[in-house]
Amino acid sequence: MNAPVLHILRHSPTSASSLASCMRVLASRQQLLLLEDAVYALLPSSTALGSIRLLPGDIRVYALEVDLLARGLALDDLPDRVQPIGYDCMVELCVQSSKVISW
Amino acid sequence: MKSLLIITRRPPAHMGAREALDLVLAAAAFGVPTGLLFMDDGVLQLRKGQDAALLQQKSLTANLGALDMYGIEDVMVCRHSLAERGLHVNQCAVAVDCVDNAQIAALLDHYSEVVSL
Repeated sequence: MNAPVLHILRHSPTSASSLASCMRVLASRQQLLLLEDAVYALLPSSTALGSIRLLPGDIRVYALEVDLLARGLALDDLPDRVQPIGYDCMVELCVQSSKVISW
Repeated sequence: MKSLLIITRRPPAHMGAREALDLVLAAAAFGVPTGLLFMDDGVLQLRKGQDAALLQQKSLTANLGALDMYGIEDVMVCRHSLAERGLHVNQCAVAVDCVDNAQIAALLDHYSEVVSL
């Protein structure tokens, strides 16, 4: 049970408070995965991206690549700390995490 | 034994609010140690003096009152969410513990399963 907790976000940061709530209680060494409209949090120069950049360095941030590309977010624009992943890697993350919390 | 934390983030007019309460009561009925945390707009469920009957809906206050009967003692509310909405814990219809962000982080760690509705 030592694998880190995985937080999954699915809603747009501007239409729901899930990103803000999750960030308030995110603990160090945990992981964040952005799916569906939550990838809008990675829009360049958005407020949401600003707060993601400020997360402690030991929090790993992932985003589903197909959701990014489907919404026109270029992988080149992502900050270094955000790792785009595919479905297979997403399944692996879920399985390896001690707990998955879907906001 | 597995324990379950239900986080309810929906305002009372939303079906999710009722479902979260149903889920917590069902879990308790099956003997699963269960905690309930009100967060974001979910804290609005707790306000005293609501009368959903005016909108031809059933009030959630009775369900909230049942928590105690089902032995659910860990009923908590997010201090930040209350403050954001200008609410105070003494305006809540049931006895709740106010928890801050660090305490919520500890709760997420403590419960073996976490469900957010």
